[in-house]
Amino acid sequence: MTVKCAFHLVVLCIPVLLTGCASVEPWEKGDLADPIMQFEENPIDAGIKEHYLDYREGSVGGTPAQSGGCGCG
Amino acid sequence: MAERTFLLHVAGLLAVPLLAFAQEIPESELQLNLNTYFDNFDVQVIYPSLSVSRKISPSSSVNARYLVDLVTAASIRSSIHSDTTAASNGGGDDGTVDGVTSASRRGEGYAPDDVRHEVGIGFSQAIGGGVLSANGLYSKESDYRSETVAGTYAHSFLKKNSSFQVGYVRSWDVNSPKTVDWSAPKNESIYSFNYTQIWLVNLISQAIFTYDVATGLLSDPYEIVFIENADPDRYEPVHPDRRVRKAVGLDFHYKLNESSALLTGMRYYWDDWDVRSFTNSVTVARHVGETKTISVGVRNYVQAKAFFFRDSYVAPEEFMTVDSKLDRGYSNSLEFKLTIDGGGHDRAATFLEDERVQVNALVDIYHRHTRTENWFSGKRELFSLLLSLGVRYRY
Repeated sequence: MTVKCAFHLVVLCIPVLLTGCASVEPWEKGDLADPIMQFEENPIDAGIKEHYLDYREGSVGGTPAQSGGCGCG
Repeated sequence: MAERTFLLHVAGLLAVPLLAFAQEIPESELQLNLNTYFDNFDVQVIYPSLSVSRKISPSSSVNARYLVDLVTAASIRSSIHSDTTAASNGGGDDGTVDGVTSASRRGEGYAPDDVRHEVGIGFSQAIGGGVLSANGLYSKESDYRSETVAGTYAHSFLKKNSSFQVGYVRSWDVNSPKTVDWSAPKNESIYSFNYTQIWLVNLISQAIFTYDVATGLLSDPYEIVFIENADPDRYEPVHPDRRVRKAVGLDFHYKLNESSALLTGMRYYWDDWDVRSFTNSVTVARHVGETKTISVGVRNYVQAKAFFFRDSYVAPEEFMTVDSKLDRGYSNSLEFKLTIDGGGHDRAATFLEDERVQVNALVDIYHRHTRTENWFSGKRELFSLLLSLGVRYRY
């Protein structure tokens, strides 16, 4: 169990450790600011999709659109 | 909880922004959505929602939301106890409950089988270079009540090339089935951690970890477990009263060229009921003309079954279920989305002359296969269609 937890911790830390690799200046972020590049440009739309999946599948979480108090699952 | 979940979760719509990634203070905006759902289990859901946010200062914003679920299910009503205690509990006119949706029956004709109302309020505040958000919501229908609070904190650093968000959601639910004379609580806590990283001028990723602990009544009391050659032969499902669910998601968004982007996502999920799943998705989004954006996406999902799920039961066991969501299966979906921004010269309607208006349309075609037949419909294949039309107005 400890090994498993450590593995998950390492996996989660990889992006943090690699942070130093990236150095994009503010004026270079034009493409990234495009709405089609946003993770949750419209949370309501994201929620519609996510929650109608939640009730038909046994898994939740791991996406930007989370909820609580909905009796899901 | 079959489609009870749908009702309550459609509401999740309102809960959604609770953990939506928020690095900036939301602008003043009004959003109206009309969503419809149909499937081959004879379930139809219409759920309009209204959301409004108001930026009250450069560093703070408030929001409010309201949603209604109107559910109709033409499938046969059934329950172990429907003849006895249901009517006295004051729900549907005839006191019965739909076996697929768990919706309380209200009457014949075009009346919906169940109606649920949900309201939510919240605020966002810039604090120390980050954004703190808090939300609360209340949901009520004839046999279920939910109260939820949530909070998130998002912070960017390294020239805003990196950012993280921590979130917490806590809910207190009460399930009061129409067919019995008792109520049962369900409590849930969700912890989340998001990490967003810009890698290149055209590549960004987001990693998400969620840890979800649910306790209380985790089964659907309207479902029935049949045991052949037993007396009695009908039992309520019994699930463990605690479930710990974990998921890791990793998304990459890559700008292909000036007008197109490739969006990929994957997720691994596991819990202490032995349900494991893997999800992957690919979407291509493209600007078409001056104000239109279209996207096409596919999604695949595979799942292992819960440790107590059985094809059939020959005798009562400690845990029993007939919930298809806990069986082994897979699903595929295809999604089309169109966004039209106001302003520009290629507008299609008069009201789109206003550049503060945005129209969104979504079509999602879904297929799910489960290894065993659904306990109620007898079907292994679920086909559904989700249609959504929304209007956003920034003021």
